[in-house]
Amino acid sequence: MTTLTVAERAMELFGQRPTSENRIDWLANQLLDLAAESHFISCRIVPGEGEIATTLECRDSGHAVGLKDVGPLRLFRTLLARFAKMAEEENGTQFNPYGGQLHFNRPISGAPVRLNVEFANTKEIQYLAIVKATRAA
Amino acid sequence: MDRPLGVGTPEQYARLKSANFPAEGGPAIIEIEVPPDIIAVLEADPDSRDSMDSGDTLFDPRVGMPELLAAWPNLIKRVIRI
Repeated sequence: MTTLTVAERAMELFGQRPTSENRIDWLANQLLDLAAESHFISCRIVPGEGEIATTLECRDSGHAVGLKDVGPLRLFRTLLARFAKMAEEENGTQFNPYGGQLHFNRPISGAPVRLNVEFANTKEIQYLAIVKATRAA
Repeated sequence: MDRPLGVGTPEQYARLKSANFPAEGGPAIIEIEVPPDIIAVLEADPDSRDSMDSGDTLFDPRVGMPELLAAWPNLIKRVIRI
């Protein structure tokens, strides 16, 4: 049996479609849960050049995987903006879809965990990093 | 469009985009009336539909952009300064 790395698990999430809830919300929450479990995830769009296609790249602390499928690439900027709106809804962080630093509290195994999110969502750079911090207050 | 605004309002985007480009005349929204047959193109694509369900309507060269460009000269448009 092959065990997927955290980076591979993150990438797999982009290809899934939940039937009973909003896909972008589901994806955002799944990435937060995965980061809470694994301490760190980052994803970014790596621009293509010439014959090299644009790629969605996901990383954990020791691995990186890339995907050239256009579907997840097209969802990524919506996902980044949704993270900004979710932080506003959940804890009043000032909304800015173009980038910033956010945080979320999630219960993991019964204990609250704080997840720090840094992202950039501009024409030039699209990037997301989720880091497990300390226990939430 | 009657969709949830899960990624913010047009006004928020206009103001924040303008703040990133302070020398370009201030915030404004271009409101366009997109014909149902073009929206149907987006709704037929699962990824576009998922983005629309969060309030983000994406036209790109693979889905919707050719149809939008072809219809563009005849679309009803309104510039809203805010």
